[in-house]
Amino acid sequence: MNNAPVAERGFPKEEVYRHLVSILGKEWVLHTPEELIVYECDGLTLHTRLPDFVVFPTCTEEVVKIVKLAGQYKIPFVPRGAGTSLSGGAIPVEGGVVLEFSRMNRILNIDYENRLAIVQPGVVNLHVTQAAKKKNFYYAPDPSSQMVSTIGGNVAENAGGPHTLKYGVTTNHVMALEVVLPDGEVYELGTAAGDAVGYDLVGSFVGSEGTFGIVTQITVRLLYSPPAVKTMLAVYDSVVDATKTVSGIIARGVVPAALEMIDRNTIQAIEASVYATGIPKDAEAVLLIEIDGLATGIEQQMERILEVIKTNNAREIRVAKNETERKKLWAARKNAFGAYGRISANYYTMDGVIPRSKLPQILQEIDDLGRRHGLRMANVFHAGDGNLHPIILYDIHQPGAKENVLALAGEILQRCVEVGGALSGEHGIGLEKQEFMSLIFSEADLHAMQQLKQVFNPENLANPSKIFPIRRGCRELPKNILESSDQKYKAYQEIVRF
Amino acid sequence: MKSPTSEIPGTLPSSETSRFIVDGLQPQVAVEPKSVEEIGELLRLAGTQKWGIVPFGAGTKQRIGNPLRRFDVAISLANFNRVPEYEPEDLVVKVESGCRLVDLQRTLAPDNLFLPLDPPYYNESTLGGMVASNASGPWRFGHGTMRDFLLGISVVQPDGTPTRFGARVVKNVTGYDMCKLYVGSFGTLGILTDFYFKLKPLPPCEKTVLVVLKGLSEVGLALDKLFSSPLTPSAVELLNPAALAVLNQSISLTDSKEGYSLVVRFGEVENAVKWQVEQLERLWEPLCAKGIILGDIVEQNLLWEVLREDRSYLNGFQGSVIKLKVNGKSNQLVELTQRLESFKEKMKCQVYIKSHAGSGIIRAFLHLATSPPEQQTMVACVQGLRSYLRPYRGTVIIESLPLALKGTIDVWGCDTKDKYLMQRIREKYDPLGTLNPGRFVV
Repeated sequence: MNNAPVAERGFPKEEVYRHLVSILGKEWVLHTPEELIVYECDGLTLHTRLPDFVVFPTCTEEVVKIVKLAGQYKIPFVPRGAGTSLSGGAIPVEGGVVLEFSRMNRILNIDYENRLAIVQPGVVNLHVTQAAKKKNFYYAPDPSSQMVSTIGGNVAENAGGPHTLKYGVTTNHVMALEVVLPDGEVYELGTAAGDAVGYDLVGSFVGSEGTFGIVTQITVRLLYSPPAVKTMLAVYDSVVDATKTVSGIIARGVVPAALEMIDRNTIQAIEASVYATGIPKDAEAVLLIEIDGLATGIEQQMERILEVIKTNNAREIRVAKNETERKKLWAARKNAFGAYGRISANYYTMDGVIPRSKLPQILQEIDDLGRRHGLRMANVFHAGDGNLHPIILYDIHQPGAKENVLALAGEILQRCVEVGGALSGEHGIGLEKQEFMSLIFSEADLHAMQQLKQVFNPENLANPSKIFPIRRGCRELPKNILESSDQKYKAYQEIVRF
Repeated sequence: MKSPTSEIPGTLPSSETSRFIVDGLQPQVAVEPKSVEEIGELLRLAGTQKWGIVPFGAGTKQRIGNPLRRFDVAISLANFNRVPEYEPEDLVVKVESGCRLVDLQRTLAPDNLFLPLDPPYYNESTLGGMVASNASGPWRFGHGTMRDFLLGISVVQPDGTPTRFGARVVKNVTGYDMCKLYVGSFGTLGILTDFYFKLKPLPPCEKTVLVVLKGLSEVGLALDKLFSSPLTPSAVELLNPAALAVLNQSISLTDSKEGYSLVVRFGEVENAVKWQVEQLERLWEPLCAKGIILGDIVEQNLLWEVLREDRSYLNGFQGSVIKLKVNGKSNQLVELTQRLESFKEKMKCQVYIKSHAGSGIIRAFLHLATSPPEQQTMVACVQGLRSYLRPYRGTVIIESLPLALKGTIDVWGCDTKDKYLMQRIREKYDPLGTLNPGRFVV
């Protein structure tokens, strides 16, 4: 229904360009292919599409004018923060206008009395915490991209991160939003004053991946920074022992701030790279565990965790003695993705989520599936949340590599769903997984979701052709992605590989 | 219009319908469906017959809302009372909507887990009613509210179609976050049949500190100090002198001292609790607030029960009672408390106030001397408070109002622009207005 592609865009491009320039000035409207190519994709590089224009608004009023213009000419529009989406959230699949938010990057107010911050969508996630630091407050959601990704993008994708186990994801920390809907109207949703009355519009909007409209102002909750942090790393000879530790810790009534797992292939990649931390290369799994809280209680918590680690046959335990050591332990985790380059030409990062108790079973199955496809797998993920990030290692230049990778990815997702999990824990659906939605939702479920989209975006101009299946069946999108990316890679085939 | 007949599967004997009275209205039929299919059938029938339907859990929140436009059928979820899936290791549980909160907690307790929500009517409330009314209590300060715990939901849409959203995982961005839409939707978007909830480990140690302060300025100072400290209480409540007197009647703790009382609960590992209690005493010492510290869990639970439950503040009072939920900013607590206390003179009533301090939420019980109270004065008082709060996007919900006054004022007081979006949501999902017609914001 309203997810059908917007009508073929035969809009008068020059006329629209003139209008955009009159709103923002020439400097802030990109339209030549050389300028636009930067915006043809985001973190999901498999699929590309040039927008017709990229514009840089500075305030809500300008956003309103741009959106109204788009509405007038029925041109699709897509908001874009730092472009770190891994599911294609910011790719303008149907062309149109990309609104880039780097000029709306002000922290408007930090209200310590009410423990909240009011920010523009282009504010970088980490900058909120940096701004609130002097009074010991911070913004809890910390996606791995937090040094560059923006709050606007975090809201659109309902971003998670390693510390969400204890503190929750973006939606748990957003109190109110100012949004511009596709009809050009500005709405305030939610409130920082107690509970909002009526339906939870903020909760509905967060995670809608830009398909409801554009967020122009965000009120987020700030937390008092925990005075003490303890980080430890445990090395295992068996994945099962590591996963038993994960459930053991939770069962002891301790909710760590972070509980991350790194598997053998990742350890090897890290240890072969500049981020090497001296983890034994023959280890099967490593757990990175962080707890935070009051200095007084934290020792007691740590003792409980160490007990569980020891009971589950860890062969080595390291506890960071200071901030430098802590950073070093985290560096292994955070730079894992960079390190894969050492052991594989290409890799595809997946995102799936399963009930924690299914970890040992699913990890084994992923391994088996990989072997069946003749592909190596690595895994570095949020074990405490059951949020997997299987990494498929491959070489794009092998004939049929992409088909093989995407087929394997599909099978892994199917298994996640079969054990009671879901398609994405934190990367979103976007373009990447829209054809898989029917693995988990019935027609009626999808219809109900689309009804909500129609409330906000009845003409389907805001980020069209995302989230919902467009083609029939799960297998067709991969082919489509392949076509565009194959062409792209053909151009580079002659380049000497090193 | 055909009237509902006993041909509907699960229809209760007519003698039972009196259990389902809402604002003096009795339904023609009360139904206790046994399956999602039966609910679907009933909703489809209701659509063709233009019936008005009210879903029922324990009925403890049915006082909330504007008068019903129609009430033909009550749907009781009493048969949906199981806990079909429970995996302690995952800290996730699946519960049917008619299951009572206390029964769920009893299932979880042996594994040292709980769902950290403590609304009034704790012993009666069903999970379905709690989701529909976004019910919360003192724990919301440290643990959050329903929207933070609901991971998955099954909904029979108003047209009878069964749907399911979310999953049994703690982190999930697969499609829109539909769970949020149903929290606090007051049964207007579908019949909720089961849920997945995220759980937390029970705190290994708990202590409660109660202090009595002379005046509201001390309260403001005390809260400022607490909230800019690293202390992590699970609950921080403020009682006005009248509410403190209620507490004193039930459990004699403060030698009937008069004043405003802050009640703070800590729940963590033992060391952390002990340290925080000491820190709190040190923080508040300059305010001459010598605290009473409760360590005994039975004593603490008794105190929190009295504090939490509505019946404590109704306390056998036979006259008219108005219950307000005031949503303001956290730092408006003192100002709002003063304004509410001024109702005492204006409306000639006793004012009992308990607040979730730090969450910006105040619950006030007005015991009226005249019965029924003067409509104009009541409306003026509430509207005055609403005008004060409007610029901050704060609101006043009248959660309970004498029958004679229902319909004289909109109990929700939602008049912001986003109401239009709520109307569109309602029209999309329940175009015939079958569910709870007339009662909700839209």
